[in-house]
Amino acid sequence: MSSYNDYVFSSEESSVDDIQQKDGGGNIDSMGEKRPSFFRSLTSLGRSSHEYSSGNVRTSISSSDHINSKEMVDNSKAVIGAGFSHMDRVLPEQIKAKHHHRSHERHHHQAALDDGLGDDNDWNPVIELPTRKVKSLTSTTRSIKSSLTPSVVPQPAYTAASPKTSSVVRDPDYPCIRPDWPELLNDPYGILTKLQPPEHDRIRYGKIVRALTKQPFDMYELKKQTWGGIPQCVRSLVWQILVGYLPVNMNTRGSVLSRKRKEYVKSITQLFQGSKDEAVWHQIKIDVPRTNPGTKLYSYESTHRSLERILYLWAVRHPASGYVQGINDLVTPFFQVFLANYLVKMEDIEIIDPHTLPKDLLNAVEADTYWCLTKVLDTIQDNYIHEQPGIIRQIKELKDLITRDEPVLAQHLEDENLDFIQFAFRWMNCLLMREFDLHLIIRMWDTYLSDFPNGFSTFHVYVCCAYLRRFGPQLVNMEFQDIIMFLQDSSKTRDWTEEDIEMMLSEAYVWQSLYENALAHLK
Amino acid sequence: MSDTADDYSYDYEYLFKIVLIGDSSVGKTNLLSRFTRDEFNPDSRATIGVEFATRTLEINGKRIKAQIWDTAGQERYRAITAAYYRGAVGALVVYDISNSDSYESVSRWLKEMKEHADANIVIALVGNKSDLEHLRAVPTEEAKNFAAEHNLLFTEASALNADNVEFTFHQLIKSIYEMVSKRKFDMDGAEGSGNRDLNSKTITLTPAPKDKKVSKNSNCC
Repeated sequence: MSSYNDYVFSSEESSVDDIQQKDGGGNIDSMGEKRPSFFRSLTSLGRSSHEYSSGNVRTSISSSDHINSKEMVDNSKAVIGAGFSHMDRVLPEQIKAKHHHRSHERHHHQAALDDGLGDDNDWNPVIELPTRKVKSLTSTTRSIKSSLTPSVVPQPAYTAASPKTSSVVRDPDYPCIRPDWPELLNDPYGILTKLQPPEHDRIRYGKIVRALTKQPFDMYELKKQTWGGIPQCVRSLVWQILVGYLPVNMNTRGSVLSRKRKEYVKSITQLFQGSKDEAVWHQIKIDVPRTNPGTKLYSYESTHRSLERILYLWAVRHPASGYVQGINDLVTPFFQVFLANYLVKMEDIEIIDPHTLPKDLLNAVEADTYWCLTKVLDTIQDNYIHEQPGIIRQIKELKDLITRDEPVLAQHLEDENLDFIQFAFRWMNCLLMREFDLHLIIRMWDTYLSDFPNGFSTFHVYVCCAYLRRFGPQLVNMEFQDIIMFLQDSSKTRDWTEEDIEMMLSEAYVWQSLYENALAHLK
Repeated sequence: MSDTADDYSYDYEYLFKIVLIGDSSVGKTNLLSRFTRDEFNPDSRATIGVEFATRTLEINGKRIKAQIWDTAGQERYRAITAAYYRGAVGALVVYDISNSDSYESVSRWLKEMKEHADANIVIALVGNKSDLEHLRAVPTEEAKNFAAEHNLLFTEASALNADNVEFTFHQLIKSIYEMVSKRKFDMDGAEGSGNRDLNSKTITLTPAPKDKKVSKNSNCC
């Protein structure tokens, strides 16, 4: 009954080439409405990007459109100091001028978007900006600065059913998201030029930014700096680099990102036009609403549609495993971190309704999530194929480690006839996501991703080991069923903080260092 | 281990391992939580691997502890969960009365059980979500007949409003008790009439009340 249109971004464009020829002609989005599309914004931004990277003033400056001049001047030092050493030294005056210029151009772009000059194949990015729009943008900026309350989810700017949708869509007033989202979307590195170091996290932030901007880029250095956690404000960017999704080459990253996102949209479009694998689809449909229950973000229809598309595409493209229950959990860290990146207040992420965000933004977040999820799952594919040999191997490794290091605990578990698979299966299948709050998992993933591609397959076992050891003293006094019930109950970690997680990760690291290259110890 | 056995006090005479099986999302986890904790959680996450809960109840004057294993419904986990049938004396095969596909799958679940479980396992067919009468897709009579043909106990229940949940479990546990008592009697009377292999597998299921250590060994998974 629910039309496939719910899942299809566009019923018009049949191929990326087609779209490119049309120069980002209007697409019908999932609401079935005609409006300037994701493609258009990408195309136009892509054009700008190209211009930036080949011009004298580089991306770091160009993407600062929405910072007012004063801020820009203040930031300029940071920008330059942040290691864009290849960049021409830019004086504050130049920045101002450039800023003005870009700002103007952005207004053009925004106006075109806002006016939704519809299905116009002859859409022209250089049109005069209506005065009303300038006001509107200004007021938006002001309102963002002054009065955002964290608990307020903005009124939906458009609704699927409304016939007036297209006129409402043009409203640029999305108070929850950063006004510079289109630039960030196009070049996630832009975030570096816009940030003030977080008050409480200056040192870590500084180290990571230095690693990010070091020329030539050094992945090892970045991994080293991110092992101990990543400040929220740069997490999205860093994660995308660590999994190898976002290129570090500034000349190509814009185009790669744009291509990947288009490819995703195209794949989804094609996927939902054809007949579906009903068994897989059914399983996804019943699991998605059961993902992270209790968190508002995951209760919205819009979130459900996004997760369904991501999971179904992944499943169809990985027929050896298909969709396996638990993979739905693994989508959420990426989805949440990437979405939060565009929010004015990142803390709002748990309550935001994605439906209230610009469709282009959501599409890009969805595509980024899909690709990064794919990168991670590639490293643990054995976990989800027939008979799940990866999980069996990890459980055996865990048991070997415990037997070696905690003989009393291991003996007790054996005496109780307790098989590791009875409690550790879920730890491996869901990467401990059922055991901790998502915000703690996200912290864990900072470290896992800094050890990419081994974090999820190898290091994770040591983390499970550290986790089990923590409860050793309690477990040795319990009987079989109390042990099982204790371990399957996730409320025991409710009071855990990031510090607890970091202790556990550190302990895991110590054990890994001891045994990783000396497996004979386990014999 | 035997020297520590006395440290524990056992408040039951029998320990029955029971498995809950059936398609994804038919309500296995909530049937279990309703029976063991009188709770219902509409937002429960999909079960991954297995989880379990227990409840002790009295049947025919005997205290029986039901150790109920809840399994993941998805096909992919079958290779793993097959191990969980081992030692089970009872099974609840659950379907959703508003979802005919889940009912169609019952045969598949029975077949799987035949492959992995003890031949004498007592099976109950349970149509869950009986509160969704207005969405009913599986006629009661049809399921009842199917159950009779296959020698299964049958009930319809609702974990949501607790209808018939107690009865469903009680009926199953009582049948298991009767089966176990009868087999014990048969075995005592005519040794060798049964399947020896079977006996060794299910030794833990017929604990002699006087031998309390047995219940410690009964976690045979």
